[in-house]
Amino acid sequence: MTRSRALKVMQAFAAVAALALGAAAAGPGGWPGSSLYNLESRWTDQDGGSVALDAFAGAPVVVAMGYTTCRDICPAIVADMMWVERHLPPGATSRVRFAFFSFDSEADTPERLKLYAESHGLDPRRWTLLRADDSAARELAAALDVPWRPNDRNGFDHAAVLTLLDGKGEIAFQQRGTQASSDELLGRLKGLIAKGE
Amino acid sequence: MGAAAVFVVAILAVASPAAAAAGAERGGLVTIPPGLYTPFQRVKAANSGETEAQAPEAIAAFAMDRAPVTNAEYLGFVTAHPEWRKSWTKTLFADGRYLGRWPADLDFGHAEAGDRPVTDVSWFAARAYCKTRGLDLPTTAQWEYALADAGRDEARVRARSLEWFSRPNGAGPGAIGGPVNGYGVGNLIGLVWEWTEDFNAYAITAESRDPNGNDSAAVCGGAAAGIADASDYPAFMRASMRASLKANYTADMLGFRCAGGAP
Repeated sequence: MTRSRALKVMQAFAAVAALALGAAAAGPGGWPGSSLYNLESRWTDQDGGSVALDAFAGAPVVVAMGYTTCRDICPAIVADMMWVERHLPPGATSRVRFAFFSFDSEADTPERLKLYAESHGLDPRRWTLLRADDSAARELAAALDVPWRPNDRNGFDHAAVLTLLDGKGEIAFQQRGTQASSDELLGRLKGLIAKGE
Repeated sequence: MGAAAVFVVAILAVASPAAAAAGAERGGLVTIPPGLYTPFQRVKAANSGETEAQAPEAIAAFAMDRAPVTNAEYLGFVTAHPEWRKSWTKTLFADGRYLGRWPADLDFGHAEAGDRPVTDVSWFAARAYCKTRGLDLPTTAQWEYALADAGRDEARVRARSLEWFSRPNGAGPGAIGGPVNGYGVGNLIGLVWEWTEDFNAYAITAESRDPNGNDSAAVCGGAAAGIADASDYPAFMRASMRASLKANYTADMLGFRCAGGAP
C-alpha cells in the first residue's frame, strides 16, 4: 500500500461524487427535484410565526446561515446580503426576500432574532430571520452545503455561503466566502428578475 | 419502532452472550461506554490564527449498530417508505446514482447482496432510515471513538485500514460479520466507508483556506495541514473523504450504520 495508491482510491471516490448531476424532475409536492422547498422542516421567524421553507416560493430569495451572537463571519455575511439589498434594481425591492437561518437553536429565540434585525436595521418587509431545532438546521445546512460545527466558545465555526434561490427554490447561484461586493450574485439575481421571477 | 424498543434490543444484545452471538449475524445495537475522544483535526486558535490540537471531547454512552445497514434491511425501509425508492427520490435528497446496484425499486439483485452493506445511499437517505428506528447517524466523534476502541489493537486496525485502502473495490463490499472490536462493534473498516451526522463539519478548514479555488486540492491540503497525528494516515483518509462529500452524494463504497443515545 502506497500513499499514492490510497490517493487514487480517494480520487476515484471524488470522481464518483462529482457525478451528482441528476436531472430535476418535479415531485409530488410540485417542486422540482432539486428544490430546497422539498425540505419539510418548519422554522420560527422573528415574530414567532411558524414558517415552512416554501413560504419563500414565488420570488427570488437570498439565503444565508449563521447565528446572532457570532462575531467573526456572520456580520460579514449579513453585510454582503445588505450590499445586495442596496443594489437591487428599482422595481425589484418589493419582491426579493432575504432569509437568515440560525444554527443556534438554543440562544437564537424569536425575540433575539427580532432584536438583531432591528439593531441592524433590517427591513421586516424584506428580511426574515429564522430558527428551528438542531436537526432542521443540520438538514438545511446539508442541503445548502454549508459546513459547520459547534466550537468550544459557545458558538459555531461555519463557512460563509450566500445562496440565491429562484422562485421554485432551486439554487441559482452560491457565493462562497464573503466579498467586498457580491457582483456575481447580484448579476444572477437581476437575471432572475428579468425573467419575471 | 420506538426508541424504547430499540434500546431494549441494545440491552439484550449486550447483556446476554447468546443474544450477542445472534447479533453478530443480524446486526443490532451495542452499547458503547462513555470516555474521551480527541478530534483528529487541528483547528485555528481563536485569536492567533495558529493551528492547535483540539481538547479531548467527552463522549457520553451511546448505542451503535454492530454492523453497517444491509441491503435486506434497507429493502424493508424503502418498502415501508416509498418516497425513498430509487425511482421516487428527489435529486435534492439523493443524486442520480442512488441505489445504483439495485436493478429495481424493490430489488437489490442477487440474494447474497442481502447480507452486504447497502451502498449508493445519500446522507439524507441514511438519516431517514435511522430516524424510522428512532436513531440518528453517529456523529463523527462517536464513529471514530468506536473505531478507536479505547486504544485496543490500534496498530492492527491501522494496518488493516491501509490494506483495505489498497484493495481494488470493483466487486463491491463483502458480507457483514467477522470479528468485533472490544466494544462489540464490527465492520467499521474493511467493507464500506460510512456516513456520519456531521460529515461536513471539517470542510470549513479547507473552505477558509481557499474559498473559490480547486475543491479537491483545498480539501486535501487543508486536511493535511490540520491533522493532529500525521502518522495516522487512515484517519487522514477518512477525514478527507468526509470533507469531500455533499449530502446528496452517493457512491458504491459508501454506506452507513445508525446510533442513538444511551439506553
